[in-house]
Amino acid sequence: MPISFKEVTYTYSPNTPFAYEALKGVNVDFTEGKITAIIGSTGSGKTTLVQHLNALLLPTNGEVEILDRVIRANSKPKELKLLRQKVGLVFQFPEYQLFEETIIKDVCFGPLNFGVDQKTAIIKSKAMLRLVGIDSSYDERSPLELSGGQKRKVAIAGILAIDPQLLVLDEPVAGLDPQASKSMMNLFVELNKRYHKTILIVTHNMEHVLTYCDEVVVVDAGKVIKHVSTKVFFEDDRLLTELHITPPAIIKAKQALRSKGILIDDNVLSIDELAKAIAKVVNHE
Amino acid sequence: MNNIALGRYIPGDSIIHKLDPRIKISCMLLLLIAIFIPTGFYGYLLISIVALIALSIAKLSISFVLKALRPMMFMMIMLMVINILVVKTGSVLIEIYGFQIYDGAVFQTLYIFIRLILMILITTILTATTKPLDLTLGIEDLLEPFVRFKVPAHEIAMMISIAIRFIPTLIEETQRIMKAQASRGVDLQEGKFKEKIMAILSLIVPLFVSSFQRAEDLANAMEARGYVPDAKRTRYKQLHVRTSDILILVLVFMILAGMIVMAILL
Repeated sequence: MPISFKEVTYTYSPNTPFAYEALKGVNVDFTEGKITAIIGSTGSGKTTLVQHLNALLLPTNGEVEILDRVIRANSKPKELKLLRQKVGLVFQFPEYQLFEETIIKDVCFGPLNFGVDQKTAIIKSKAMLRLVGIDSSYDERSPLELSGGQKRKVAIAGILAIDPQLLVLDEPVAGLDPQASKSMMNLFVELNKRYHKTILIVTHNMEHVLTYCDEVVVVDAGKVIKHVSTKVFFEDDRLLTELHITPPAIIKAKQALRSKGILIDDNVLSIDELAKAIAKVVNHE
Repeated sequence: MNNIALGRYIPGDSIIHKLDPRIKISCMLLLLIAIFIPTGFYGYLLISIVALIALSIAKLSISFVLKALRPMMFMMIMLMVINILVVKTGSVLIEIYGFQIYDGAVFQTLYIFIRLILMILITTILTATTKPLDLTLGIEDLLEPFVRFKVPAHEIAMMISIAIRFIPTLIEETQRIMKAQASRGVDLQEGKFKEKIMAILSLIVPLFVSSFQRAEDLANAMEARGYVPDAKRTRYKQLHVRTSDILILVLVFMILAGMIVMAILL
């Protein structure tokens, strides 16, 4: 089922002196079953773009096709709840949306809103809390007592418990320590591989794009200017310079080796693998 | 929620915009006092004309004022209905469902209606043409004489400017939390009563939590930069009263005097 944008524009506060066109004709077709990174500089329209995916924002012009729904400009769509159950959107700093007395209640909030019965919701919620790495001793505690990173995990569990087909994350690891971001990113990979969820991640971290994402969508000045596989993306030196992106260290190392005539396999994506690959080349000589 | 007109500053460079905020606040207060002088319709006509001239000089549209009036409409209508039913002066005009409506009540209600509209109109001209920060500077200066009577003028001004500063932030925050909860299946438009209460709760609790957090952060940031409320402070922006300011103040005083004369003579 498609997840596509056709000539979508979006204007904030239209017909006022404060009008601002955030999207200027977006055309993009996200690939189902993959992890796609959405990148672009601050203010390029990434957040506006992803908020169209569960119809929090409705296009000013053009149309958005999400799974089995088509959202057109100038038509008031009904039954948005059905769509929002299929598209889970995790906002930037989602820890601010916690409000219930206990963690388990907060995670259950989503599923219960979508009509899941109490018992199933609790089972589902507990499973998701364990999945994000919050152990059962926390279940009955207040979400407001947790540390920032733990709150983030609970908030993400709250969306996962809704069991969406498409998971959209707006800078999910911003402000987390490297260890926590790594385990978070690995969780998304697991959700993609094991549960076949389509995942879109807005991020600024090129290392994460390289290590965890299959495809890259580049947003610039309200338009999608590129949609390619991660591999092709990091080979496009001209595009990277144009976007002022410093490629991850590993890419730079591989390029430096290549310029000296040492070819490293494309699938080598981590420092450990690179070390092994170099060792292999050296041993051969 | 982005369309709140009440109290919004509209940038411009008219004479009204450039008036000294202290003078502007004083003028507004004098005009508000003038509204309450009982002069009948002639007095209101005078103030309306003055207000409309100010409105056109400031290049504000009538539709903007109407927008600002909208949130007050409910309160005004309630006030008028109660007034019309309760006041019993003059002779009975008509009787509806056992309620007698007197002609005195009708007149009085009409007066109240005009007064309210004029008050909102005048305060809207003030807030629409004065930057919030200038407004608080003006308030601080005008409260200066009362410092002797232990009125914390600077603290009041600081509180007001912080409050004003955070209105857009809070609106933004509310919208963000609304969207986040909508993603979790909250429906503020539809749903049963109990669900609606839950929906509002899911909005208010996070908003409270983050407001307190913001307040704490701000207090810490201010203390870290050595803020002491009652310390002697200098200002980056100095206010200067010019001749035009004085002229306008005199003009407003004349209107007030005219109103008083009218009230005595008529």
